[in-house]
Amino acid sequence: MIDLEEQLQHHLHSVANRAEPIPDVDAVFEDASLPHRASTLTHRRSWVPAAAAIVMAVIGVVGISAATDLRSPSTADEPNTTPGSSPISTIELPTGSVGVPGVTNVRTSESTALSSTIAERLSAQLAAGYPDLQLREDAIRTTDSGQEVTWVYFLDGDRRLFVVAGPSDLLDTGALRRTSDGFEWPDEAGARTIAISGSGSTIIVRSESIESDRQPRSADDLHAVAALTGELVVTSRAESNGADRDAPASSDDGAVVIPDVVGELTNDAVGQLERLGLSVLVVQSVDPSAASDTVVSMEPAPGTLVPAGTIATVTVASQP
Amino acid sequence: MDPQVDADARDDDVSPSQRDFVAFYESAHADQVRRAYMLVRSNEQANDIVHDAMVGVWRRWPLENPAGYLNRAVLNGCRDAARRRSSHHTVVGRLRPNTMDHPPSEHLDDVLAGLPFNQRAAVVLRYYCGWSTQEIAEALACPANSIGPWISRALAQMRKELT
Repeated sequence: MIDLEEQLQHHLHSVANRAEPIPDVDAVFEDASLPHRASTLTHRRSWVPAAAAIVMAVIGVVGISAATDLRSPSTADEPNTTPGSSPISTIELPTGSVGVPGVTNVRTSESTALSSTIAERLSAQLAAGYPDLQLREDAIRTTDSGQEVTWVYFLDGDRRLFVVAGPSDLLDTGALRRTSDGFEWPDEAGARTIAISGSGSTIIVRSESIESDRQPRSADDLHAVAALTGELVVTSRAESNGADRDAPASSDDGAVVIPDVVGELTNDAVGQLERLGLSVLVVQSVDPSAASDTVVSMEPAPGTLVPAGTIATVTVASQP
Repeated sequence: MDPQVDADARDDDVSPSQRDFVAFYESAHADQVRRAYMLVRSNEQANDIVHDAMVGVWRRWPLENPAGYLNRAVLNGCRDAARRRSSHHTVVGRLRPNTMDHPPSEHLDDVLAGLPFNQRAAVVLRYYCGWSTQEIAEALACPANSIGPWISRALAQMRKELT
């Protein structure tokens, strides 16, 4: 019997022979001479041309608070607040994830030029101080306000360090700096941290809407976040308090009893929840002990009565 | 276009820095595309990922360790591609016919494709590239002591699926 490792070596070499390298060093020079964002977008044939004009402002009408709390949820104090601005949601990042899902919506005409400036600025900082990190940008989707969304982030190994804020937030940034558990990109006064990473964070998001015609947080926006990051846990709260989050609705029209989908395959679970009129946020969590692509937990809890349209968060096991 | 003619023409008006990069590109490109192909199973995607990574290298040129940077960038690109395709793979996996009807190499292909990215990458880097544990860990930006278990789990899964 042929040894598996030997068989594997033979097989991999035969697979490698199916590859068809197409060298084009001139295209590298050409793309590198373009503004950073454009070069990333243009050669990906699957992206629509309109993506070149994408704004980097992301998802929704929220901005990161000036006093974002970077500590672990388990140790974080009560959220910092400033007078006159109430938190609209708390976004908890699970251990091992990174990110700042706070964003500000701006109009495309304003943000196109700004995002380019910011990408160049961050790119220069990474090149100067952290050459092993790559600035990346990703298009997600058109939001319900008609904007196409670009998510800007940089990579540190297998961790994504997000730089997510409206262009106006990013224009007064100082120097990117490495911290004990990630990175910070504070403003020039050192107050606002825009790029972070770490073993766990609670981000307090406040309403700082530029657009006035949208709800503070929509299911589409959260889907867009989840589609890209696959690792956000968004704890949904009511506009300014979480008092009714866990309390079952009584007899409202369109109320739905959350079914138990723990243990089911992701697609099945999502389909089941969506058919009931719920919005679904899928969160991937590394869990070697559970079967991959199955739901390991959910929120609200099964049996909870909620209004239709409520966001149900299902956490799905993925392998490390 | 004849690559040699192209290269000769380019030599006339390129800086020494560009010339060095071209030499690096030519020495590394094909291997990187093959490696990326094994991880994403698409020639177009593999070429795109390597192109992206090369653009990043050239932007930062000269780099102290361009090969190391390129390795990480390509693997990161493959990881991103794998994330985007994960739901597709789930569906394909369910629809996959009885693999006993297929030749062993095709079956092995399926099993490899179904492994989590880190396991798949570790297997490719070990058994195709012949890299050491330390080299794999650096390329995947993970602790060296993760590599052994990833490879062991991958081999165990393959044995289970192939028997």
